[in-house]
Amino acid sequence: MSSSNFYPLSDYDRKQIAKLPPDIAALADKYPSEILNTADSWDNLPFDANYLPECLEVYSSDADDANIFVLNGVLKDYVPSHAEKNTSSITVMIDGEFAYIEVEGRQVLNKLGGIVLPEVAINPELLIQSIIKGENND
Amino acid sequence: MIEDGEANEIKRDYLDILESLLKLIHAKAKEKGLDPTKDVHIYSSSSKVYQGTLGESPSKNLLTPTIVENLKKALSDPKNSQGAISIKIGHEKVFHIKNGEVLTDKLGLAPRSQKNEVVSNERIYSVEALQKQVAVLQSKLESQQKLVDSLKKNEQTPESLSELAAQVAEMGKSLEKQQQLIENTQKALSQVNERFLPQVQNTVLQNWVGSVERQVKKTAKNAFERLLDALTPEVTKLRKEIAQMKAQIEQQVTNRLDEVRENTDNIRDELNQQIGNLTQELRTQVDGVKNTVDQSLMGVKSAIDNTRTELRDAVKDVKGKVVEESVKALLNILGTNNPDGSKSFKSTTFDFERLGDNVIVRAKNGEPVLTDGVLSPNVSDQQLQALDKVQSVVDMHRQLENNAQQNSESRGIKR
Repeated sequence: MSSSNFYPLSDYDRKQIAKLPPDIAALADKYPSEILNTADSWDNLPFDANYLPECLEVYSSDADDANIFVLNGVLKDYVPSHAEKNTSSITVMIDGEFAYIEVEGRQVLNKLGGIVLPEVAINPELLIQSIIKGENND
Repeated sequence: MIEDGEANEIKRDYLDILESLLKLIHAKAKEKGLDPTKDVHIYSSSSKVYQGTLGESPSKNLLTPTIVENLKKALSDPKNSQGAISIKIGHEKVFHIKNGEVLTDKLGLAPRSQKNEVVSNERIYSVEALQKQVAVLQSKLESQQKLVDSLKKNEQTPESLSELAAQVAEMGKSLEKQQQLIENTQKALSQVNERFLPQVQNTVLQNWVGSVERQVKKTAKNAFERLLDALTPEVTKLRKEIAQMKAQIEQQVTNRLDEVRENTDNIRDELNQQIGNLTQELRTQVDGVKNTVDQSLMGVKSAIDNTRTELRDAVKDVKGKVVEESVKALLNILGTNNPDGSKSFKSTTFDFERLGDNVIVRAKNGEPVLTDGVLSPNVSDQQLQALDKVQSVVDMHRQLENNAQQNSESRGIKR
């Protein structure tokens, strides 16, 4: 769900967000989902050194689908954006955890720690399939 | 537009589904020794859509009927679910599904048989797959070509011919589809280079994202070129071959028609020829008969003519002799003795003359009519009739002489 969608914050959410540094919490009205995720993950420990992720997802604000989805070192999804589209937020999930969030070019969450980003293998067949699926969703 | 009543019903439905799903999650969590009092978090893609504990009002609920439906599918029929859904209990991720693939299922929520079972309903897009499809078309084409070749040996009936034509047309359509698929793939691949991944501020991430993007573009470019190099000529060749085959079949059909037409023409020609021959023969026979008859008639006619001529000549011959004797008698009675010893007499129509035994009768124009007892062939019927009278003049004169002699004899007796 992107920031352009309707994303109301509950009282509980607001309480969580209030724990964040004020300059980050102030972005909650514009980027409620990203800032709530930031709040939820704020106290998490960074990934251990040499942590090798199984599942990597990179989301940007303008799409429900991940731009990149890597599973066990294999590129599963590749959904690039039109060049003219402005990316206002980026969310990186590693093994289902929020590892990195940036909003308007500003990093608000970084739990990457000592992570080792995997070499990515690309299966042309999967790539073409993913691209065509992305085209059809346009 | 959904009416309020319907909307409420749908909402009740999905709330029921949601409650049973939450109960399932709680029950399974309890089984696995997880703390059921901790909040359950449900994420759709990167957004949290639910947070709550069973039996309590949730602290967050942005679940829509669509998401609930998808969640239900993720737990009952994972391979047909869409997008990404993840479930956490407290901070522990217990379930994660993406694109129909169950990535994490610590509670055993999804049906066991379908776990980690990737069944793709997607059409396969790859140079290899496209090549295989083209190869299938090629082999089909080859078997069709055999059929087309057998056509030349006239082993095909008109029915199988039209069936074959339909098959080739069908293959043409398949090829068009294939071509479309290849073009779409090429288009998609070429568009990869016009699209970009977002720029990430974090250098490590950006390096990684950038390298993935570069790798993807390189792969896409290679695939695109391979499609161009390997597949396009094949497809072009196939298209040509199919077009040729169509032409061959059409030619065969045309030949068949020509053959039938030719046969018909031949039969007609033969028939005409036979009729012509028969007519000719009849005409010849008729003509023969006619000629024979004509010739016979001609023969008869010429025979008659000959006879007539002979007869006429004989009559003339006889007549000539008779007339000559009459003329001799006439000249004896009425002829004038000429100094050359000849005798002559001139009537109104003829000049008669005798020298020795030679008698000649001339018409008034000097043309001889009778010479040496032979009538001239030019003698006319009128002249013949006039000549006939010569004898009667002679006869009349002799009668007068006889009468005079008898009178003098009787006078002598009386004395």
